[in-house]
Amino acid sequence: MSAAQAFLNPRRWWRSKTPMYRRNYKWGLVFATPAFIGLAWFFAYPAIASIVYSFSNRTMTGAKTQWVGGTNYSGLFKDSEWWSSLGNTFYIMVLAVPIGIVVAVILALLLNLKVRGQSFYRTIFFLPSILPVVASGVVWLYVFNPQYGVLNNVLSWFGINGPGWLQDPNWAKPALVIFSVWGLGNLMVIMLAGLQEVPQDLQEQAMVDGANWWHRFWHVTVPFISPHLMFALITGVIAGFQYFTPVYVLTNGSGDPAGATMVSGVYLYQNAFQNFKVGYASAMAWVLFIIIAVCTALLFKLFGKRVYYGGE
Amino acid sequence: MTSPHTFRQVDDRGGGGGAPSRRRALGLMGGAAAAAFLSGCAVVSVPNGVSTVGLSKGAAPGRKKNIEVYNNQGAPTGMGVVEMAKAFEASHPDIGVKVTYSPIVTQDVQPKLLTAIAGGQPPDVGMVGQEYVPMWSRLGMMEELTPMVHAAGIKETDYAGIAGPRAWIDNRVWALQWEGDPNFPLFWNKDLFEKAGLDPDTPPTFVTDTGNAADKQKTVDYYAGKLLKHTGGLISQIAIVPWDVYGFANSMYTWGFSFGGKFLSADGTKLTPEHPLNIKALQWMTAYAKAAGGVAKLATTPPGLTLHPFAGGHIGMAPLVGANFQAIRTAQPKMRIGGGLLPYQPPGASAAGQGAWLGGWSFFIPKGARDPEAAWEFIRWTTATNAGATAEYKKVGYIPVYSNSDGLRAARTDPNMAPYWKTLMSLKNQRPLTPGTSLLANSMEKYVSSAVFGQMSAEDALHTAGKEANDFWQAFNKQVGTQLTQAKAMALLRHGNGQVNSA
Amino acid sequence: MLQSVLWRRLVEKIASHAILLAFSFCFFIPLLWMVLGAFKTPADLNATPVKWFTHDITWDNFSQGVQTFPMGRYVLNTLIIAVPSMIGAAVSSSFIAYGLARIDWPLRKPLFVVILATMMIPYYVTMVPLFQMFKAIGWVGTFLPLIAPHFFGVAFYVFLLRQFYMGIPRSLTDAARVDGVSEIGIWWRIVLPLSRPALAAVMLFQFLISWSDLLGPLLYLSNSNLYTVSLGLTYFRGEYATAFGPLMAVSAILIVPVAVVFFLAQRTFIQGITLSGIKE
Repeated sequence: MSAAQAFLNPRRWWRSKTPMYRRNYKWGLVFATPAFIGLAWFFAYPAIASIVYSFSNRTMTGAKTQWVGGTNYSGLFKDSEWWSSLGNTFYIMVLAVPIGIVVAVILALLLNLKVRGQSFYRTIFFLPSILPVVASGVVWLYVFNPQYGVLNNVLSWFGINGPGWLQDPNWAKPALVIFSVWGLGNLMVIMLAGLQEVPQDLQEQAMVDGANWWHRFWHVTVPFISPHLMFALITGVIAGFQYFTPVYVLTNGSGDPAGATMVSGVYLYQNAFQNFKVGYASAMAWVLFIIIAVCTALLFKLFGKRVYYGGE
Repeated sequence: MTSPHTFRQVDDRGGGGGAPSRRRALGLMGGAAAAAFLSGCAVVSVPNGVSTVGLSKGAAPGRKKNIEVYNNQGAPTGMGVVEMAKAFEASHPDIGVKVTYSPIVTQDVQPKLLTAIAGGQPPDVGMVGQEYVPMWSRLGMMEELTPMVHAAGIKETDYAGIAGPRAWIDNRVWALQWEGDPNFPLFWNKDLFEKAGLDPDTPPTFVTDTGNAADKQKTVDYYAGKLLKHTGGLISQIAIVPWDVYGFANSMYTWGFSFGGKFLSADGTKLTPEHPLNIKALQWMTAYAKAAGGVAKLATTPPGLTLHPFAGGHIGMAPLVGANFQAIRTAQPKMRIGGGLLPYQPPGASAAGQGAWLGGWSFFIPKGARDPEAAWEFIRWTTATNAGATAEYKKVGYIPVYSNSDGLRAARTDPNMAPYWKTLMSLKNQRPLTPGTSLLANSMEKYVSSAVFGQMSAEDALHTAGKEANDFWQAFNKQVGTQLTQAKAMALLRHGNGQVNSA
Repeated sequence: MLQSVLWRRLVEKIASHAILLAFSFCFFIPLLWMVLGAFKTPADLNATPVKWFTHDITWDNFSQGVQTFPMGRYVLNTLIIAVPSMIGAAVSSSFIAYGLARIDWPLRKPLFVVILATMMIPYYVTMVPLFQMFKAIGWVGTFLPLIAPHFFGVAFYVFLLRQFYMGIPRSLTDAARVDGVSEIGIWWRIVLPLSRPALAAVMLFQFLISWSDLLGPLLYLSNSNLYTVSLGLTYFRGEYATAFGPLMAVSAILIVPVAVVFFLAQRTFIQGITLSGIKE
């Protein structure tokens, strides 16, 4: 139908459209222009190059490169390290993303009440995001250290015997989750902003109607912040699959202990920059891309309909 | 440069203000911010302020030739590299040296250097570990130095220990070592030894039971029993942390060699982490971990920490790199530390210190460097002249490997450096020089730690690591070809004099 | 009745403060450790059990840190990168987001999907080709690779702003359309002013990204006079040990001005983002 027509006989297709359609089309293109330029300039070449590499055994320099067809992709299926790295990535993401969103929403809700010292609290929660990760990583190495560690020291005040965190294969991933959740300042700002969109009169109306706290939250607040929850979820999942920096700053990218922190991003990096298997790493990147795309599409499908946009 | 002063001022004002209002507090904070910015800005106006500080520098002005050197060393050794480059400029009026900081991001990876080489804009000189040379050179990332080395009359016998032979792979030279990293001498805490009723001047000779009753009290295991302490279910004092020698892979090399294990087959064509003596070594490590109990709560080594945990006074013995040992000496001058050679395990090994192996950074010229000639002059001076090696020792502080240098001679008599000198002179091992070695490091890191944490047997761990590394190496050979005969490289190493009959 | 309401308010207040304080404590502990660490000697830093406070206060970390780290120059360089990036990201992302959220045209959904997809490609495989591209146009060694891409829309902000723009009531823009205002006019005169606070948030995020980006400056800058704060901080992370004291001292100095700016401006980022005045 129209897509085929548009290609076969663009002029006729164009004329067959309503003036409104044509007007919107033109404006749509105008507003998309920077995006098109940006995509063509900064994304097209690297993306196409890496797709091409993924079908070759390219090394760091490209010397002695041959085509290997789909070998890299089929190799991934047999690579147990790749599967375990995906598992680790998933583990961290499934914990870090929801916990991050829930904590950010709780903080935002509390900070949205007219409490004294609001600005002060907000600044405290935002401070971790200001610290360059080079510095915060080093701080957290001290925090998690079982011997000199601040965290276990604080836990001991409450009579808790803390685990070995980054030294313990069972606790290394939870430690990474804690580190990630600590930097939720940006998310908190977004949620706070979203909360400002909840109309006061609706809240008050609900209160007069005798709705309890949970009802008010679920039926009034959540719909209005749902676009931002959606945003947090999607960007969280996209970033979660590419989890890298915390592992680099906290374990030096070794995957220690016992491979417990070897996430896909680090495994990819190791393949490309340590073992120079650039072709293989590119295949990993595109498999990751497909996984992320599928998950994102699923999330849109699951929750997209429930998102309430005031403008529609 | 007045930030500390600025901060004190702010503190004083804040303290004297009675009960400051919020507005006032804000004003103060704003003032502090402004002051911090201003004090920072003062640096900008210092002439050449930036280029003389830190880990990078611009080339001296007005030179006929300029080269760029990528420096992967962080503070404080990185500043030493800058100083070394200045010393080079002082003795070479025609060549300016720009030093650019190119840090290591995750285990040995220098993303800036690699991207620059792959992207076609390499520096004139870069840093590399010798164990990467077989891979990098065959991928065409390095300029061959052999003709220049011949022309300059530099021989492998000009270097201490195995530093020379390891650079002459198959009689070709790709990179020359500018610093020695003898891994490792053993250091011990004399006070702890004394408190545990051990002789403070005698470290253990053997690793574990030799089958000879007379040796029983000379083993690490015996010391371990004496030094181990638990408090509230946690290890509060421990003799040594054998799996914590700068990562699991490096620990495996160290104890594998100490047991007499080999990581490369005699013909140099296969990596052999699963050598029976390496398995023995790993079995000892895991048994030790089990006996100590609660190993998952012991802190691992830096880079994260300011001082190596040995400085805390709860660890009896530790193999230490020079930088960590110097830092402990400076921070805890009162700590009584003994230094010597690593214990060993007969019958595989026959002498103390046999577990040590040579690491360290070398200089090389990346393929596509703009001025290989001037780059070579820089490499020659830093790695093969008395002036350069001594400047390295004085400015950077690593033990040099160029034999005929005052720096190496000084290290012999310096009480802080002597254990390194002794180790450098006696060591026989290195990480294998093969294209599979980088992957072996990744695999051992994973599987050796799995074994230590009891998730895998020692045999399985090392067999799996070996298989992965050899598979990778074979695939690499298939793709790139086998110009380098590892047999020759090994023979060179075994004879130590470069005289190879045939291979 | 009145009493019970007052009573409930009080309980609510105490409870919310208690929770906020508990969270603040968790969030602040590492930072407190950092600031205290800036005044400690290495021996005190590594003491077991943990030594929170020390009698042996030292200023060496600050003098050492400032000597290694040309703070003014690096802050200035970071700002030279951050400020244009902030403006470019905010304006271009808003422009693109408007087209995606408010104009009903056929490519609206596919383009949104493609923009989202750009976020899903792991950076480490495109790093070298991207470097080659920037080398080909002669930008390596300049700030441009770190600034220019932000002028063509940043996926993250396009998505964020789209979510906000979807929430602006139709009636507002439809009225203008009927009055014959062009789409650019609507974007510029109605949507941009309405979303000024959301743009402030975008600028805040972009500032923080430029501020803590390590890999970009590392790859593209070679002249130490052009280095940024984040790149400079890696100076303190050596191969075998970290100069924790000086690193903490420098970080503490750096974090103060940003924290103050945030403290003063957070109302703009948060309260101001509201579009509620115009909600139906």
